[in-house]
Amino acid sequence: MNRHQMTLLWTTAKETALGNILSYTYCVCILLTSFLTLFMIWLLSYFKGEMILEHVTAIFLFTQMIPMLYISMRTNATFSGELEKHTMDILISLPIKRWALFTGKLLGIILIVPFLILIPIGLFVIILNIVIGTLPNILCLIIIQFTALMLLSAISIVPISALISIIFKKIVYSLTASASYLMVMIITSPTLLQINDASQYHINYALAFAMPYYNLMAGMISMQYCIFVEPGLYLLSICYIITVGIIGTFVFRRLEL
Amino acid sequence: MNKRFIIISLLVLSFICVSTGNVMAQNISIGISDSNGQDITLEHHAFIGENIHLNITMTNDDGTNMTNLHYLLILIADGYGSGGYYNPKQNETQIASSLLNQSKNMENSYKISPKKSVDISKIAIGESILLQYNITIKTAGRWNLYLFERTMQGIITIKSLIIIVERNIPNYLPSSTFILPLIPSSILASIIYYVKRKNKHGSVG
Repeated sequence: MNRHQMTLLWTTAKETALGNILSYTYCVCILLTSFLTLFMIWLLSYFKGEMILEHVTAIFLFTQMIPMLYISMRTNATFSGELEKHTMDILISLPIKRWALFTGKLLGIILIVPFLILIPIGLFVIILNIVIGTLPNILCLIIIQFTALMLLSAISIVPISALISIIFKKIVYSLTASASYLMVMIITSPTLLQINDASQYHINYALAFAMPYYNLMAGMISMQYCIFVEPGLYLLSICYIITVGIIGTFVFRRLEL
Repeated sequence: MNKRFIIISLLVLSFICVSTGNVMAQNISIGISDSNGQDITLEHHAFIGENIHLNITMTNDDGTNMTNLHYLLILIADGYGSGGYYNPKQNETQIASSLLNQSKNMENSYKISPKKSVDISKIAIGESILLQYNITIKTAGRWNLYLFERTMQGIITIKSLIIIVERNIPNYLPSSTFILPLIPSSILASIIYYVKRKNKHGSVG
């Protein structure tokens, strides 16, 4: 891991991030997520009643779907797209090691994630401030914790989509596989949660590790019961990103073009 | 009934009275009224930032003088979950302590003046004491006002009240708020357009 490779890695990350941010689809994604946030606020009628915590977490969960799908799509376009168009061949022929190229591209996509999550949440906070006045410290704490978990869950989608992309190579197949993984995860996650009674819940950590959306839902449940996200869930997300990232790097190093 | 039984019964009774302390001994009636002198029995409606003036009258209905009383007034907003703070298995003192913790996490949303806790040295038999509070709530929602008493055994709730703080905007978002998502997106779109145009001209030049 020399300095030159690190410079190339950073250049790749920067170029990938800029290429992804400077696209109108990125704007559309932010716009759609923001609109969905607003729509959910409207639908839940500003959290009237006694379910503020449930409503806040539900809004975050629903709005998370669009960034997740978008991130998966962009990752597929970055890896499978380049493999299909054979531009990846040119990149590999450059004096950059494969691990640096893969990690750089991965990092580049990860860099675009925060805006996708933070802009709609910022909007959510502004609207909430207008409607209900000063946000209590407890609500700020809830939003911060859940935002952190949302960021990690969204980032988790990047390495897994990259791995799927380099395995399937063709963009059609990789997109289908990634979308299927996401849809199955989103649909099955609520059914996999185990809530025993009013004072007990059980998180399946194996599922939380394998499915970032389940992790997010588990975070929501732990938030509703204890006002804080279980620290283990953050750790699981980080482990997932690192593990899948490493597997992806090994697969990419052995990749036949 | 022999003498020994009476003495033992009296001893047991006095022990129960002493052990339950202030909880048993104090029989206090509490009345809460607003600035107009109207009684608030169950709930009170207010607006964000409105100054709510509360008069709490405490009357000693007990047969003895009450001494060293410590009262505490707190506010808790509904809707932030009860898990982790209290559960049905907890006793009254534990619940009160949990409520206190919950209230601390919302301290930035309300202001109680002159101060939350009041120490009263004595309330004589039949005497009434008036406590005056000014409350300002900065967050809309359903708030629970609790008046606690600190006793030897712990904290007990002696009075609770609901304060409903109306929101700034009534039900359903006004259409103008739907412009908000367009702001960051249009800014970003403009930046993209500008950068792409600049790059295009740069490559031509």
